[in-house]
Amino acid sequence: MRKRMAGSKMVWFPKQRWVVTLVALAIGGVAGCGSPVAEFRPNVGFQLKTEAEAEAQLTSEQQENIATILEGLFGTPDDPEIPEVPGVEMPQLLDETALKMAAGAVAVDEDGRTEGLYRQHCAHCHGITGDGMGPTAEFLNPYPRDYRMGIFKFKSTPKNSRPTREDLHRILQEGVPGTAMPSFRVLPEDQKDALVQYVIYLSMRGEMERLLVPESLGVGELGIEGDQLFLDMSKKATDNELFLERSVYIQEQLATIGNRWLNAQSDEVPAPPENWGSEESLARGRQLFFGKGACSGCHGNFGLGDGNTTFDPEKPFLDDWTKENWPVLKGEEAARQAPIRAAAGILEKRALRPRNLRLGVYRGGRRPIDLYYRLRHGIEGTPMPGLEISTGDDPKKLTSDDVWSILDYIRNLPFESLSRPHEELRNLKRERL
Amino acid sequence: MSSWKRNLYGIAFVLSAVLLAGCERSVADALDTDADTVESIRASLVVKGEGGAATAVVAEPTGFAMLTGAFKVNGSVKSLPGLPASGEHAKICSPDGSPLRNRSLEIGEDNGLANVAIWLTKPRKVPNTPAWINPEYYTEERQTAELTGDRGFDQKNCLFLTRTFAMQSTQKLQIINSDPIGHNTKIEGDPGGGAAGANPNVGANSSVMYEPIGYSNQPFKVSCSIHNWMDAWMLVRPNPFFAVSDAKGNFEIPHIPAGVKLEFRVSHEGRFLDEKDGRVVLTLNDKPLAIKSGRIKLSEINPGDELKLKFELDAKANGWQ
Repeated sequence: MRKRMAGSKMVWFPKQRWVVTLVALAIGGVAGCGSPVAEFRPNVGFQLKTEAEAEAQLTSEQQENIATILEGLFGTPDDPEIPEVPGVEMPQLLDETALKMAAGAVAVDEDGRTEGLYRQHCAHCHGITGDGMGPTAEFLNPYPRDYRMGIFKFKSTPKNSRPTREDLHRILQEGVPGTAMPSFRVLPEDQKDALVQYVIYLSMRGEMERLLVPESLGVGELGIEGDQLFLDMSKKATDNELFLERSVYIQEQLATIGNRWLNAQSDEVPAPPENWGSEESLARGRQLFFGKGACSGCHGNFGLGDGNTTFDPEKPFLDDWTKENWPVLKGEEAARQAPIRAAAGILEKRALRPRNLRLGVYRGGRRPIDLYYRLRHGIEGTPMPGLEISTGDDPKKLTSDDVWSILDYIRNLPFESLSRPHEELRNLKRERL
Repeated sequence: MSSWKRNLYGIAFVLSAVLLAGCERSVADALDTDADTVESIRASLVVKGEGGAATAVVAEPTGFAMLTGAFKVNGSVKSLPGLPASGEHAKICSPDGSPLRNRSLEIGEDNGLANVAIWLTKPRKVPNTPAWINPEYYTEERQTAELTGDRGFDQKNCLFLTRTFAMQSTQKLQIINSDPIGHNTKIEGDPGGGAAGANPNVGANSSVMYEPIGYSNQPFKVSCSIHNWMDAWMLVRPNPFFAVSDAKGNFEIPHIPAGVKLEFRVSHEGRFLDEKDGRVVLTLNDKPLAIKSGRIKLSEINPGDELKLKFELDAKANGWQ
């Protein structure tokens, strides 16, 4: 095949053929790997779960209607909008200039200001939509945060509250130790602030989407029947009462979503007791770890994250995001949803492991106050509960001093000899010598 | 086949393979939106200035009526497998090692189906006025009560004692742990109506208070993060018009508003009751009434009426055989 073909008009040399093949591959590669258009994508996982619960399916018109409403409220990744909501001081929450700085393609304007910060720093993991499904997401463990539930793990606010802006700033500043989330300490303050606002913006959009899906499927609050569109502009004139009801609903829900973010406040942390950090407090913390605190059930008797309750292959520990993406389905519905889930690139199910407390790596921060928040309020979106505290004299309940003592014990675990076997061996060798 | 043709086919094949495979994993397609519709929706939704959009006017009730009902199962039902207690607490949860009671389908006397929730969904916002909510029956104390002790939400022997719990959003609930071991009571909540989620650690023989703040549009799950077989349902409503069927499958909702159109919804174990496939046959005072996706529409209610709903659920059509 490679020999020269005498008399032929087309003469191919081995080298040339490889060149042509390489060129073809390059063209194909470029075509296959080109940047997709920056568009918000639907929350397919939530949609499928809600469809199973509703025993109904969204029509393509209904899906487009939801996308249209969301675009009307929030704009596009290149041109974000801040919805105006009566009763919500939206400018205190989202600033147009900051949002524009974070959104859009990466560029530098005439004044040398960087734009497209989110796509430059965040989108490859967290995705354009903030769905935690960027191109690199599937290679990371843990997966990047999906903002669309409005739930964030590491924060100073109680359960069911949004994080404060300072909480999100802190995550940007410090990163999340033990994960792929890096520190963005080197970014200027205004850029970090723009990114925090853009995360809130994506979260609000996702929260609104999560309300429109069940509404359109008839399992929300308004009780839509059949295949109706949530907002049908063509019927605005003919059925204004219905249109009004749904417009009001959207505004009410937007107000609720916005105010949740605006009203987020760090919880007050009581001062530690005087004996905090002492041997006495540590011993008390150990007692509570195995007793009233019920920590050992998950974190194990040695704090290695291997508690008895965590190893059930039938029912592994899952976080809320995974549970939503992988609901328990049976029969025909499971068969119907499987290819849709695969085509949507839903990330594979992964079981959660309680933290190994002997490593001394704390994702939400290692300051005592960070650990106090984890113990007091749990980790939202996960099975990690919050410790309820009592100010009374009920001996069955924990006090804030008890929480500080548990914290003493946990912080000491990485320094126990069991946590440093190599050091122990070294000491033994020295003794032999 | 000539050599250049073979090469051409080879190149075409490589190109096609690369183009088809691409370099990324599959992702959901973005949905089409029409720019004009986006603009018109934006203009309609974004209300500038004070006040916001007006709310629709709802007619006033003319009095109150009584709503009662019963859920009956027709046909034999297979017994459900028990729940195996596992982990280090297995001996405390089930000292004799026998499986724990599976409460997801409880049929009592006369084939009555327990734990079915029914609640008012329309009008969406029930004004808290004497015309709508009878203040003599639904007193302030009742609507803002702290549900504690026997009225609380207890767990014992690693099972929730109430399978489907219903409360008003203005009430508070004591989450009780009557076991000698700790439980984590994970309350899912509902972002739609703002019912608060919670995940408190409830120590052995202890309790915590739950304040829902908002309401839920339908029952949501309650579970225990430590003992993965433990689950239950909770419904939180912004008005007092709701009920859960008792062990005999009966329920009552007194003093429902009369003279106005009402819509109720019914669900069992997170599934809306539906007449499709013959799952449920519903009658109102012995006359047929439609039930679709759990919705029941009641109109022409006169003050003093006694409305009796009878739900006949077919065991086979509901997949219980």
